[in-house]
Amino acid sequence: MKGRTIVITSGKGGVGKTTATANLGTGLAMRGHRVVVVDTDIGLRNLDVIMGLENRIVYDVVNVIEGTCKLSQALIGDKHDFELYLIPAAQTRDKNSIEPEQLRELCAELEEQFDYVLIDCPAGIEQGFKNATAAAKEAIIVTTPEVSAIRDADRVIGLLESAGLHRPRLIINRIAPEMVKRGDMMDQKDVEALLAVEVIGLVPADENTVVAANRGVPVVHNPKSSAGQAFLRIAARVDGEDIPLMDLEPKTGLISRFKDLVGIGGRTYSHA
Amino acid sequence: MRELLRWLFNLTGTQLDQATEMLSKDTAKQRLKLVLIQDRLELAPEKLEEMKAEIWEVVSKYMVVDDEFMEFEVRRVDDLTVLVSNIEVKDLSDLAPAPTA
Repeated sequence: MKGRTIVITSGKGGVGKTTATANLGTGLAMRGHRVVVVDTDIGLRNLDVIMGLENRIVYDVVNVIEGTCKLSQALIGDKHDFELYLIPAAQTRDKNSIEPEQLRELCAELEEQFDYVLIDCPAGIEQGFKNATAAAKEAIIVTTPEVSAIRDADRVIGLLESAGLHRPRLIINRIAPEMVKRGDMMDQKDVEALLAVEVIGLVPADENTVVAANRGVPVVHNPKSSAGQAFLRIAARVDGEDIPLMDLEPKTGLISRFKDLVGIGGRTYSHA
Repeated sequence: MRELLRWLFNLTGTQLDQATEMLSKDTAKQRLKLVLIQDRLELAPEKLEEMKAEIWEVVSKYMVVDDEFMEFEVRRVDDLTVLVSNIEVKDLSDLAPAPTA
């Protein structure tokens, strides 16, 4: 088996990297793949809580790299019936505990056992970013349609290019269709024109994502939610399926809102 | 009464704003365009203006160009960074060098 190692990064914090990693990983596992997600945000780990696995942690990524445990001991199986595993970050260490070369070796080993190795990159462009990106052969950048997130994404695109990671792909997260419609939020075309990278996914702002985080069950498990549908589509596209991006139309009228509420016809957004 | 007046003023104020102001996303795009050029070239805003002025000066020695219209774009093509400048040529018939000062 020779898996694909993909880093999920953003530059700016709080745009949804960890959420995207958890959902993309789960989505790919739902498609029948063997997937491992690696949290490299040493000192500020969160992928474990987003996936609801925080109580199962014994060993972490630093333990594996330092050889205090076997790789298999640090792999935490997901709660659901998929071939999905988490390697958590160490919480009481810092980013300098590991070196890019060590993470690269670890991922090379993981590629032998898994179809997909997803690396959740920490915010910023310092050591943690260098560790996470050195191991990857592909990159997915998460941004929101806001000036600060887009500016940082552009910076990260430049850094990835100079590190030899060409043609990163973009997820635009937390799109509010009503705001886009009235011209108060940039849309896909606007962001694409500014950053000049391929958009691989559009994710609407969805309260279900918050609920999912509260429960520790990624939103892709809720196929009725618009964010869940969006992440399933992204997983399909990453997997090479040629399906169109989500068409984000604002909810219209009372009836569709009502339908949405009671879950008949259950779609908040139409798909082109 | 005063409250009512203020309320009325606010109401018309907002409406006036909405009529005259551009869409906030267009403001965002415009601001980002400039910031991204500065970031990509690692140039301070005043250096960028300086460069713009100098390029315009050189080009205008050879042709009549619009002194308002000049666009910059920085594109990344794999590991190359490309600077593209659009300058509007006003008069193509007058390609003879302008008298130098």
